[in-house]
Amino acid sequence: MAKPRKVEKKDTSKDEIFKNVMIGVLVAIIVVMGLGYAAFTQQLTINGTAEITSKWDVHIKSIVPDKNATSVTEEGNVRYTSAGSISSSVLNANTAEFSAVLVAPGDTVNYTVTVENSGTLDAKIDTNGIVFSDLTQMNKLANNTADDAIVFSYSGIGDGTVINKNGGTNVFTISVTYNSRFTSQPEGGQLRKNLEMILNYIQA
Amino acid sequence: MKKNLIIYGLLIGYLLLNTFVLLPMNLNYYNEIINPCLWMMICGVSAFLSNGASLRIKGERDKIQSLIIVMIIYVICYFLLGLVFGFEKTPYAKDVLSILRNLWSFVGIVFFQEFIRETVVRNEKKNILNYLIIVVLFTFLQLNLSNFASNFSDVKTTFIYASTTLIPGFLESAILTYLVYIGGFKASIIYRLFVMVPPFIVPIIPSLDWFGIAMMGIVLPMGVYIYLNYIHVKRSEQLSRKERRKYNPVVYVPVFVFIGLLAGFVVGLFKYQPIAVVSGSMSPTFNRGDAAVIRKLTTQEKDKLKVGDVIQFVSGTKFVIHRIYDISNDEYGNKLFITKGDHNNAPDVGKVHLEEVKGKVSFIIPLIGYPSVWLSGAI
Repeated sequence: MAKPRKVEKKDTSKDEIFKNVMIGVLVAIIVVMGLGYAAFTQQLTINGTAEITSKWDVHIKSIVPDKNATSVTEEGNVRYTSAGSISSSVLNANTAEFSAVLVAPGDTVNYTVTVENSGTLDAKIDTNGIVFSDLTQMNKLANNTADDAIVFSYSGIGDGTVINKNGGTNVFTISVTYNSRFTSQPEGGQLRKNLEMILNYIQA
Repeated sequence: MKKNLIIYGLLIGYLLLNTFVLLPMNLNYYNEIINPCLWMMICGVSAFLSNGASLRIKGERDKIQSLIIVMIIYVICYFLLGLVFGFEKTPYAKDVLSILRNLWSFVGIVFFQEFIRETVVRNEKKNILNYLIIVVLFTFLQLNLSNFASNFSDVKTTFIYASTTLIPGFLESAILTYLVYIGGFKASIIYRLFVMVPPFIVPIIPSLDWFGIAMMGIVLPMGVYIYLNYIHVKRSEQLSRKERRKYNPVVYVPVFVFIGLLAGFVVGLFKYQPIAVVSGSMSPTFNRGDAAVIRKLTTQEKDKLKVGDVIQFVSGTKFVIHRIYDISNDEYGNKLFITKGDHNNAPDVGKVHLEEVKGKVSFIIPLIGYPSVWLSGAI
């Protein structure tokens, strides 16, 4: 014969009241957090736009130089000292890197960057959405006012540039040039330069 | 089962139509009108095909309240992570009309989807295969299949996609199906609203890397299941008080604390962080596949580094772990470290500045880094 089991009766109304109070307290915490954000926005670390989801998927598809890194010593305006002196690669969805070793004044390498939107929302570059780590010499070759030995420039993209959903692309060019105004070997800090370019996309 | 098969057929048809016809056509107002209409239609057919049986939910109000409490705690914890990892702006438009449009386009269809889920659960309550089909089918319905293949281009991309999307998506679908079973479609709607709505209405969200996103996607469904299962079992008249105590979620608190601490240790939240060794340049001190535990250094501690210390530093876009071979100064008097791998014949070409040093190796854990090495393709 099966052993009879006790059935526990519980005071459901007290339990319900407790849970309602708990919900109220938690909602109040969220409100306070929201007020905290409004008050302390300047002190929060806020980065650019990101996070890939099924709806939002803007990523770097490719970065390709217009010259091959080979052992050929001269090709057009660019001379190479060794293989692998020009390189570029997509590291992950949000980051690509490029590098070049330039030998003579006037040498230029152009990188074609393709950004793809595989999400289901149209996107565009945010206002002031193109951010450079070093703006001092950007695009100054065109008006011949560049003072540095290594000068960067870009074209084909700007604030408000739209990238359509479901496979749309933005293709732009970033160039690195050995300033032709330099007639002698540059020294010290002019020999090497790094540039970081950040693109901030938002919903169009 | 016949009625459910028709509904499944409609859902698979929607998936194929969407992926191969509608999305490539890039239609205007697809998100605002066409997609919601499709879901409304499938929802209407499901309602027609419902067998009218009740789910017989006990203590529905209690379960809904408990679920709301858990989800609010999740939202608070999620946004508090931003104080640790930083925040990033959400990409969605912030004007009122766009917010409402996004909420209608992406959150509105949640109501139709969960109603359909409840219908198929209700039609075949005792059929386990039915539940499996629901979970798998609804997982795929949430994925963006138009570029599905690109997520499997290499081992690392596949692993990250599985960790951040496939596994959390499957677990979410499973917990939603369970919530429908014990609490009706109101419970599953509440869960989805709490997860989906914040990025559309809040300007910033925590800036989590793929590991953080994966952890949140796994821990949340687990936590919801443990607590709601306890609430559900508490109402069971077939279990004794002692048996019901086994389901008490307090029992799992040490597990979640351990998971949280381990995750924090791995992502570098604490003073010490493990790093997988991917090359043999420091052999025999440590080898490829070992894990070096790095102690992060302050500027003062970096200044006290000496020849012979094994340090981690940034070189371009990579992290390198080598031994300090010599110390010199640049023309401004700043300290420079010349480094060398124990297995290498010559010192490294570049010199390391103080600010490029990240930490010092404290100890080695043999072999534990092999999974990371394999994933990075170094093997």
